[in-house]
Amino acid sequence: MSDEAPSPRLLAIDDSELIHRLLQVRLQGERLELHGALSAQEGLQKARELMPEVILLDIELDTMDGFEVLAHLKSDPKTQDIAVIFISAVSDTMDRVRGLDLGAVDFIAKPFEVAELKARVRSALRMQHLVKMLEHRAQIDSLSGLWNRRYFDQRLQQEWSEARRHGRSLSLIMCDVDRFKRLNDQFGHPFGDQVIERVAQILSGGRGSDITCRYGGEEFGVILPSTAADRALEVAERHRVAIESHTWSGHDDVIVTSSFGVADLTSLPTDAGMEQLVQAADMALYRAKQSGRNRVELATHQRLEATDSGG
Amino acid sequence: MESKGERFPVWAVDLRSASIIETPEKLAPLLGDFHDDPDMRPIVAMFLGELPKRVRDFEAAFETSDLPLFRRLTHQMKGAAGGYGYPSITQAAITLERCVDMSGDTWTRTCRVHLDALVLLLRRAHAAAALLPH
Repeated sequence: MSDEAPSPRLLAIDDSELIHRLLQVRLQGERLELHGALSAQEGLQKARELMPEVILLDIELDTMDGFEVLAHLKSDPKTQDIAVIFISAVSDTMDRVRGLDLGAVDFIAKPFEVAELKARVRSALRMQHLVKMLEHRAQIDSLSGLWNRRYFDQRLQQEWSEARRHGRSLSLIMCDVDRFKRLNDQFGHPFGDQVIERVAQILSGGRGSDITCRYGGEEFGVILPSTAADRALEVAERHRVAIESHTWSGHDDVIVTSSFGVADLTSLPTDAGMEQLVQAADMALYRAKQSGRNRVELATHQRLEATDSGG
Repeated sequence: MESKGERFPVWAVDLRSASIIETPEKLAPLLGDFHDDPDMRPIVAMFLGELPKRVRDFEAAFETSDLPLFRRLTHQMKGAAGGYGYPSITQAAITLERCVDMSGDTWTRTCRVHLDALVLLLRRAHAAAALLPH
């Protein structure tokens, strides 16, 4: 199997078939997956589907011009970070300025010089790669190597919207290492760090579709898309057992345990927001702690209502 | 910059006689910059092969005063022809587009001459299709 990263995708949105043919031939030698759209609507649709790294965008299109297409791309969280290069026979300086001000990264005049076209596409791809790398690093927790809280919030919002839109299930597991402060005090912070790292490995070693994040301190959040509560409970229980049975190098007699709270969409009122899913899982986690730790608790609709009315 | 294959100046052909039904044999072929480029040959051949239809589209849009279509055809030709090795066609399309943009109600009279100049170049380019190396 090849370790080579997949070729970057480039989407050309231009109403001229002549330009698409030209790009096919002229970008032949580049490591690129080239896609084309002949209209603004088709272009916007393909941008969402393909998520290309770079879009070459003509200014003069059919139902809307390139500036409007760019505005649409920038207003959609899914497509807002795609690098857009205007490629146009419109030579007015103000049009170039307008395009760059709207968020395009570059401008290529038609008819284009092949070497310049390739160089500008490569430059946009390099910049895109750096931006993605920085973004990725800003979302990773340095100790555990897991996604951080910022990413957790963004991703849960995204999964929440998808689940609501498509009527899919969604579960959330909150996990907290039991008596972590005592472990730190008794065995030192290096051991505490070792616990965080190992628990992170265990939690992220589950199903490929689950998204494991360090929520803060010794608390972790696992987002389980398209998963109902019964399956989420099984996943949490498997993690709990794995953590409890882990042998700690240099501390053979130490047993580390953790508590889990599980919530899914059925735990919530129909008009609930994403924050209430986190709250429900947190409350279930709190109950697990109150009930003696090292256990998994499930949030239920009734319990939430009882808590709301009982304070 | 003029095409390296352009052996005859545009004014060698009488514009008034350049109607679209004239046979290509009477025209001096306009060779493009990529005439001998094997990578470009297939799409250049396609580009040249489609020129008669594009000439008909230009004429029809002009005759029916379909200004948006006429403008789009001109703009597309301006953006593409140079890329296929025909900077003189791009230049003629720039002149025509400018004329259309500036003309207002009188565009049919003013732009006819520029359209004829563009059509002549398109037809000369089409005449060169048969000369493409196999």
